[in-house]
Amino acid sequence: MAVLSNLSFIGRARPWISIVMAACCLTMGCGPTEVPKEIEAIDVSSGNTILDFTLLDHGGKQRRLSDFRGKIVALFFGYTMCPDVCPTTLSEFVEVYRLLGSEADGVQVLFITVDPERDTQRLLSEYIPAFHPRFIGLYSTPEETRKVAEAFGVTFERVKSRSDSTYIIDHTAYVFLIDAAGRLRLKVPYAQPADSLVKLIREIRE
Amino acid sequence: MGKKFIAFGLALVATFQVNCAYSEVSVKDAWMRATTPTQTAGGAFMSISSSNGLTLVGASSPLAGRLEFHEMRDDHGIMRMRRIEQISIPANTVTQLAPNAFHVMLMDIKQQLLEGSSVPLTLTLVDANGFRVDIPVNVKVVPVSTRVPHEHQHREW
Repeated sequence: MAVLSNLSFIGRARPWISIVMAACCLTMGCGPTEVPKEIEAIDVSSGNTILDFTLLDHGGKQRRLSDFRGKIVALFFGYTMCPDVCPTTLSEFVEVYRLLGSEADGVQVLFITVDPERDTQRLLSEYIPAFHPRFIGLYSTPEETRKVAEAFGVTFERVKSRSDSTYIIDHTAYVFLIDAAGRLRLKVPYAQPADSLVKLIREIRE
Repeated sequence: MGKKFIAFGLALVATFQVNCAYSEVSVKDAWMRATTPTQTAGGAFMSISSSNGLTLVGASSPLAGRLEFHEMRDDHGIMRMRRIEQISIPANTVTQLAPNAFHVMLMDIKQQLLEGSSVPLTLTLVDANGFRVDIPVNVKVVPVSTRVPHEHQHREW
């Protein structure tokens, strides 16, 4: 029953995505992002990319990425059956919030599931807040999920188990850091420690 | 928070006879994250060492319908996870089943795994002569947001 009502909600919500290449340098003067030498991260500021999407959060409420303007957004893709990468990244961001203290109010973690068929709203609503009550899990239809992922250059593919009908999902594990103006600034590879993530977050704060 | 790092010394040493020689197998620091009521899968991590070269060929648990060994690879930012049939445990080195490397995947988990509980696991290992041994392991269930010590996060390929 819960699954059926979730699906119908997706139908009504009509998620959408738009990509705006904004000429923000002219108006806002964003330059390249200084990445400390010892930290692995890819500066994508020069693209001046502002992405937006509408997805459903783990409470079933529509959320646009642009709703979080004014905050730094740390966004990544994953799925709850992921035993390694996803809980590792989520746990690292729990530590990031702790290290930031009151500054953490200006940072929003968004987790977009690449497995909406199995990651129901119910499962996401248990799983994501178990890490931190302020983290938000997002989901949509498989089609919309793919569009959002493509906009970020994220790929994911199902890999079938040899023994039965179950599957795992290979997926891009970058964390995307988006500044308070909504500009995509940094792509951070998997397994960066919390203190490095904190430095990067402080770097892109206006 | 330091205490969120995994730090426990759950050691299990099993000794068994292999062709008149003794092989000493030690499985330490076995852990997995707590699950939510609806979650049915999770990865278990541990350190395994042996005085003789062995191969890990099987795992079972009364709390999970199916167990597999998985290997992770970072392929230019895409994390690829693959099922593998076995994991070799070379003699006298510690083989880490750790994030970004190997794990035992528990699927069809039959009950919610609460922080502080443990999951019984039986590992099956064989030596070069085909001698087979089952080793019981208690996997400690740690808080979901437990961080992985950083030295275990990176693996060169």
